[in-house]
Amino acid sequence: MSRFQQELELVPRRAFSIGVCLWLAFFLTMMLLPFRLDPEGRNWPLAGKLAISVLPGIPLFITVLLVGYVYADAKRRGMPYVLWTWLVVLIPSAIGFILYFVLRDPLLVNCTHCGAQVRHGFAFCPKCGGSLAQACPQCRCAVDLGWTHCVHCGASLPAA
Amino acid sequence: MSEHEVVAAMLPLAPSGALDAQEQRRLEEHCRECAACRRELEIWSGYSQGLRQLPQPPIPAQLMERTRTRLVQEHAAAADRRWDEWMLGALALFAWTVGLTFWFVARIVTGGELVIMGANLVRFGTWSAGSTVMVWLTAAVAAIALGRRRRELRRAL
Repeated sequence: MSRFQQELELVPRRAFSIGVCLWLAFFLTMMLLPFRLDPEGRNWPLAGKLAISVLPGIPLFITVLLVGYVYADAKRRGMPYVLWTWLVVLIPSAIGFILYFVLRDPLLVNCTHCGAQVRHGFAFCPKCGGSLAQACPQCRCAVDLGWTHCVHCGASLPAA
Repeated sequence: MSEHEVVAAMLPLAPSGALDAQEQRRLEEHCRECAACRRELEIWSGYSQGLRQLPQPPIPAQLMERTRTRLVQEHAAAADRRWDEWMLGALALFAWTVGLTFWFVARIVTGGELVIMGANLVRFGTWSAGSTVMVWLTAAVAAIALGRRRRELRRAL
């Protein structure tokens, strides 16, 4: 399964249904209103009317799918998913989605001891206390490989 | 491959006990007749004994689990980076498509004229300037709010 398919499976079924409904509503509104109101619009060929009513609804449908994706993806990453969903809905012209992809947190990983989901950068599992990363012997904060001193307390670190 | 070449390939493995019983028997039979292989086996046995006598560095506790966690994290982060690069490109294109589509729909719905305070909002110039200002303002407000929240979370950790 490709990465695209994996990510598409994240989108809730409800988002697909809402997207289709909105696209249909948009299609009907476009077919019924502008061409009736505008005297010149009535003379348009049917193919033109259909194209103008169908095509602009596609970005709307994709936007709804993207909103569903952000909701599910932010949830699995342990981010404030309601806040992010509102942000991508309210920021116009799809800029909210770009912000989301720039600022999103790394995926949660499973603790190798108990399987609980933990955030990237944790030194110990919050559920079982198992060691997840090298920690400073003095302050117990996570430290990176190759560091000779802890950035949190300044203690010298043993060579890994 | 001759018997000598086959056995020669086994010689480095024999002192560490990596051969099975059949291979070990084959090697011993050959070494009884071949002086060169016997000498080489002695050299390899010497290396093996020497390595066993070296001080063993202490293995840090839970090194295996930590390495496994790090590998999973690095793999996920690398996959995310590649995906994000594609998505950001596609989203930039999508943002333009959405902006232009909204303008196009607004023009059709309003019949090409939506005058507010003397400015026709559905003229291309006015529309693009207005939407650019609105996008930047909302994105800036969101970025500030998210930045504050992230700082608070970091402080809490």
